[in-house]
Amino acid sequence: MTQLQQLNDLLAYATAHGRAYRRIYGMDKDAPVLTIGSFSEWQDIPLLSKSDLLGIPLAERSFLPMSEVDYIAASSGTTGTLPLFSPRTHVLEYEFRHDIFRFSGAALSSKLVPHQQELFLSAGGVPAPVVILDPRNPAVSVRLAQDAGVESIFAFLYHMPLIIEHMVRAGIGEQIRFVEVAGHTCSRSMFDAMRSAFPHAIIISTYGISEVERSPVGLPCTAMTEEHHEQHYHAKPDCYLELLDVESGRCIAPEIGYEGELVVTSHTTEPAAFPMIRYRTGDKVRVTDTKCAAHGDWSFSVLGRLETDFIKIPGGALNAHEIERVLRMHSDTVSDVFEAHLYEDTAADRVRLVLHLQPHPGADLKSLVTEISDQLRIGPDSTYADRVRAGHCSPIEPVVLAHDPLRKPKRIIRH
Amino acid sequence: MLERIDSELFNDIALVYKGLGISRAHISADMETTPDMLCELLDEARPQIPKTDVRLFPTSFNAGPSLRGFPLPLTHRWLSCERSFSEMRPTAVMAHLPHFWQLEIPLHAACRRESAPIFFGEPENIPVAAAAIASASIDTVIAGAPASFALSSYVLQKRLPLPPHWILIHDAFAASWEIPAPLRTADGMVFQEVHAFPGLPILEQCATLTQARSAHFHRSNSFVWDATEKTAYITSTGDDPFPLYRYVVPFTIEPLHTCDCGQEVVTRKL
Ligand SMILES: [Zn+2]
Ligand SMILES: [Zn+2]
Repeated sequence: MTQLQQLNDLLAYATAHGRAYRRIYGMDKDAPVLTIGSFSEWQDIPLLSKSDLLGIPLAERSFLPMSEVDYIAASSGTTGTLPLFSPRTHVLEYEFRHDIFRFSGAALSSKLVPHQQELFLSAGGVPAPVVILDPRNPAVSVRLAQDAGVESIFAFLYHMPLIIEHMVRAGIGEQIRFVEVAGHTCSRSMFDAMRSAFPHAIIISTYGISEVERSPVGLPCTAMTEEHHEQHYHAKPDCYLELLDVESGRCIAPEIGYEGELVVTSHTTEPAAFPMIRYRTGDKVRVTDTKCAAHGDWSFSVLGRLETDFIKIPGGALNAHEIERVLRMHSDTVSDVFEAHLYEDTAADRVRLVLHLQPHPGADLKSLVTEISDQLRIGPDSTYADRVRAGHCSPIEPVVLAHDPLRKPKRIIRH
Repeated sequence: MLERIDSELFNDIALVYKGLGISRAHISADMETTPDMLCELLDEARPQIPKTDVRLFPTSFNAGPSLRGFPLPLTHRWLSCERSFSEMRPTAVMAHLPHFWQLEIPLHAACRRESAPIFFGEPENIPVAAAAIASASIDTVIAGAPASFALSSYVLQKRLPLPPHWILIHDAFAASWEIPAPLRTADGMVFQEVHAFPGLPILEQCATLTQARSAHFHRSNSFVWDATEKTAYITSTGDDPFPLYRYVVPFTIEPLHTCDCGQEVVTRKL
């Protein structure tokens, strides 16, 4: 079946069953199911966003009766908004790992689907326990994992500092053979910390979206290495990805180097609790290849969350990925972990940037931020220092970053 | 009162301990296994405890340095929870339990048997738990008894409907086994369980006992109970990877009467 046929079938199924899509597309009772005959017709199908889904109660959104829903996933949501609860069926989502590593022992998991991880291990032929990481009680969680003979880790990236600290303290870093992280873009310093704590582990990252049933939707093209710590992903076989120009909102062809918002369609053949059609992920990605050698389709790297990692300031935009790039140029003075706090001084029509950093001992923060200011691009041909000279921004104020291992990291915070 | 441990049971357990490398000096028919002693036995057995076909549960509700991993089979079922579910017939279940208790996987299995989806919540994140109750069809909550106070009062304060069904887990070592006032009068079913440590229920309730919402229980039949005036001991009856032998329960029990279900009703005597 061609991809177009698959998408057509999905659309017809979604508008024939359940009420959710008919409601989202504003179809009246007698409207016939939607079908498409070309990709340009497909691109006329409305895009879906989280707010469309939040408006429909879970039981009504689900294509299956609650008795056939395996578990309910919650997406964290930005501060102040409610999480979206999504129904999930019982499907194996992690077969790709078997091509990367032969699992034979216990795993530590910080993801909230431990039963799925355990099902994955037993489907591989060697049933083994999954120990759940309690981020509030990391020492005992690691102790249980140690006693269980842990060999692999499935974790949210922001839990990794805790896991590393306690595993290194317990002296079990060397027995870890496989590490899979998800949830955030991995910085160079985070990769280096994992590499040094788990010298014998294959380290990969997956790209998942908690609202999408067949998450993870992005699978790693290769394992992460010292040379290539930035993970490249290709679509899972039953996912269809589109790239959306951020400014125009139009679909663009995925050419190498192009950047845009990722749109996901998940066309599973199994009964889905919620088939996702043209969902705006809110993530900005960059196309890294038009034809990945392993997969044959285009691949991408994740630059950040559009809502929080790319903030407009006078004369340009502050870009978390760009701040990280500049910090990496100063790796002998500072790590690339940061929090940028933006304050809008409306009276003076200026923005203040307070940059929380992790400097190495003895670093001269004042001269460091002067250099950062000169190097930090906020537009195609202007830097932060240019905006300071134009009077639109105040000079960067450096602060030492206080680390809270329980809080999900945010790279740019607007006040 | 109650069953005495026969020598056959002792011999079986002694054999398992020997296989786990526990020194003979530690094993005798009149031994008492205190929580500290259990830690020592587990430390001694640590290299022999199989790694892949067991799940480790924490030996304490307190996540301190004296916590050890207590092995139960990987396929071990949480039967008391399954029985409660079969009475409650949940639509959707929320786990409101600390993650280090390691109860999520057996709980998910119990939910599948009852065809109910599960939401893994976090007890520290009460607003998300309340949002799940409000918008994810959650009608059954399973929580540590102390955590149920904060959750139920938050839900009522936000004028959300209180989920009708609850399973509350008491720590055997807790000074009191209280349940929140709103749950004492709620319309649904509230099952209480007492665990020696997370994952090891020793006192349970049947549907009849839930009606009184009091601290009256049935003894778990996974153990032989040996109760004296001052102390109660439990001894595992199944072929567990690490059977408990005369494990000291921090209270003794007093028989009250026979329940409609035919089992003896007991209460805690401090
Ligand atoms: Zn690829
Ligand atoms: Zn009864």
